[in-house]
Amino acid sequence: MSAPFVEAVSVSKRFGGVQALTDVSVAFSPGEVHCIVGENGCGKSTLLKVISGAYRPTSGQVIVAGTAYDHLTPRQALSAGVEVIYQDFSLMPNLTAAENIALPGSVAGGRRLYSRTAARALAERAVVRLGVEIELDIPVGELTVAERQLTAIARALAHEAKFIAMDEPTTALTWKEVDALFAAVGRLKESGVALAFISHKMQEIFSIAERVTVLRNGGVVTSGRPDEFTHASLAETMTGRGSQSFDRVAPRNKGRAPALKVSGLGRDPLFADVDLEIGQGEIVGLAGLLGSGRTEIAEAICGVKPAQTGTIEVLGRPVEIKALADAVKAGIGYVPEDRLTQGLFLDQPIGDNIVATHLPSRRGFLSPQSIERRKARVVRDLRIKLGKLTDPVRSLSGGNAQRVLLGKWLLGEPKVLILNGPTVGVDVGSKFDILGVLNAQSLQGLGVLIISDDVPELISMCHRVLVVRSGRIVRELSGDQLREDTVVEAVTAS
Amino acid sequence: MPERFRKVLLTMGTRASFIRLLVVAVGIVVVFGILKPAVFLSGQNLQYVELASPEVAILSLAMALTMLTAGIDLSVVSIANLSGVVAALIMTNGHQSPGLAMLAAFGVALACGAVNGLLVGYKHVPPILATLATGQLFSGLALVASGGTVVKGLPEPFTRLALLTVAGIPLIFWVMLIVAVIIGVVVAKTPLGFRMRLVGANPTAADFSGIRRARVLLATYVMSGALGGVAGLIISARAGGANSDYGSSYVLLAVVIAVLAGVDPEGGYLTVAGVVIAAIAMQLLGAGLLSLSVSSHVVNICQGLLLVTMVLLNTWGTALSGLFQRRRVIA
Repeated sequence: MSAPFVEAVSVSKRFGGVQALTDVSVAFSPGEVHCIVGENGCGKSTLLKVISGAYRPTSGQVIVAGTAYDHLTPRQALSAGVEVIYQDFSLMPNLTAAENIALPGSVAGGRRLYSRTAARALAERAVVRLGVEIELDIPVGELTVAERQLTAIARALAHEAKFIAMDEPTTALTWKEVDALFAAVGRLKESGVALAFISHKMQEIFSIAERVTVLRNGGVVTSGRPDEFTHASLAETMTGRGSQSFDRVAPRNKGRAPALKVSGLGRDPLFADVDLEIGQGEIVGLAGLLGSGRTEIAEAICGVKPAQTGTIEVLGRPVEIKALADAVKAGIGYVPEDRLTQGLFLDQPIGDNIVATHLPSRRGFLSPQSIERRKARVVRDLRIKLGKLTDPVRSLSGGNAQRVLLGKWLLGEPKVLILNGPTVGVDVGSKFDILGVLNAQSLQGLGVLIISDDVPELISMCHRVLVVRSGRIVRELSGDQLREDTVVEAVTAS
Repeated sequence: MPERFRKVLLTMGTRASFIRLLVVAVGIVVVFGILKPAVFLSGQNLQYVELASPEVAILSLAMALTMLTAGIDLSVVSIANLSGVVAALIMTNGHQSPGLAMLAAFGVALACGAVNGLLVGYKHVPPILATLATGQLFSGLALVASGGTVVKGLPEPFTRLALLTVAGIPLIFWVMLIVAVIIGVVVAKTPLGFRMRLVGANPTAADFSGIRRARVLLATYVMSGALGGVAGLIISARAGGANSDYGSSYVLLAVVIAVLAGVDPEGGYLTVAGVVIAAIAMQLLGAGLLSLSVSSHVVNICQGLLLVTMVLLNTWGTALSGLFQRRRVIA
């Protein structure tokens, strides 16, 4: 094995009273994919920021290309070929992909004049080297998340990056897109780039990593080749808890009116003829590629973008849903796809986020006592870890923020809860807790519809999985058919 | 007692901007109280401030309400003038009682607010454009209705309202306090106020929380219009007449007072007490400078300087305090 290109040596980082990293040593070698895994708040992102020079370590060194730095600056890191792609990609949405790929290089190179043809050629070279196809001439804002991800990687390549770190790059991608990304990662590896990959998803870690380092509470717990771990042992190492799994229980309320019954739902041109039924106490999965219409179907049922045709029944009673407020009244809850922009009021207090939908009031005035009781109940029931209820929700980790969102909907004691990507960007421990809460709620009669890209999650949680393709429900998988290979095949078949 | 005091402060706003505002207000009183005690602390001067503050404070409250929902109401002064003109015309040309005239004016103000609310809430027109346009419209209507002149000769029972005092304090100052308390209660104690704050903080998340955003915005702009109407009546009672372009500088003054009070123009935060104190502080500053017999231009300059300083502090304040904290750690 060749010498590491980037190495963190005994790095520690304190923020005020918080010890974010303790004596962390990690090495990234050329041509190797190194996965850094751990729960939210374990220090993964801090480590990346130390390596990219964004944070100055409290103690320890970063060695880049054989030069040791006590205080690496972002400029030094960049010029040495260290590139970190954060979750927001830091792209400029109004510029084209070609401009995004080529501009930072020409700016850093101190060139005053910008040549469109030269930029275009540079961008094309980077894209070809990556082995992907990206529309180079349309604004990045119009690209899909996957294409933006690839654009960010191409930009790194155009900078002659020798080390590329990606912070949870697959969070917003579908399986097909993940495959394309992994293929690109494979080509990068062959060309001798050192790669760091941060992820929560077991499947991915095992399919791509050549080396896995587990962080917990700011320290390295263990590091090794992926074949030294199993799914269970890796999860256990990350959380420090024994691994658990659910025993799927058949819905107890068979014979009763379904929690949700949807017939002939349609909205041109997004989806049509959607029939689905969720029994009381049943957990149903909705699987499909991005753009298959799965999110649109969910948003129609809950009234965010109402359907044009079709009927919706809750507990056998027909309901008319023209807006989300109607759905709330009918007993339908919806945990949206994008927690940060759709789900939460980031700068508002945690407590106010909890009661945003089900706000107790009497005779036109808020009832402070029952509001406080509700807040406390959600925090207790969902085991939300927080400082104060008045802290902004922004201060919470992904897992706790998602619990706030879930608690906000459970407060209304809905009959049906629709969740779109309930565990995206959530650490393993929180994921387990969240799924556990859903399981417990379903035992009390709640009908649950889960939209997810996480196949193992759907398999372990759902009684049935419905597959959406081009706006129609094309298959239903249950019982023995409910296996990873069958679901993936059904979803990606064309 | 200190605990109780802390609680009161908490409900009024714990932000650094609120504390800064209090310091500035007290500072103004102390400085001019020392420089010109005979004039500045005289009953006459106080009365001037009490009479001049209410209209500004109420217009600023209207502005602050819309800013709470991340909007703005540039038409609020036009609404005030239109309702003032309507009331004046009904009293002079129609020879109707002040009570009826005031009711009609208030109705006009509510209707104007509803137009804004429909445009912003249901038609999704950006508030700055919607209210800029309706402001022109309302001013134009007031201009046509008044014939471009000041509608004078308001009956004495109406103009006397501006001079009446209750418990030694002008009636219109009481009106301002009552309006402020009502707005404060709406914002802090009702579901509507709660939802206004959430809509301002993140409109998308409000939609995904089942909040009927359009209704909340409609209610907001109707309230803003109603406050404009109240301000318009106070203005015409004080001036003894009404015209279509009274106090056009009040639009920006109201924005600035709201920002001075620490209201976040990007939505999600409002302090009613802060707005009232900021409005009074601006009047105190003006009165203090006039007591030093400087020209009114200097008053404008000083008000402008104060605003720039406060806005800078509100914008950079957190960064500054962060800097001080870091220094302390190092030292």
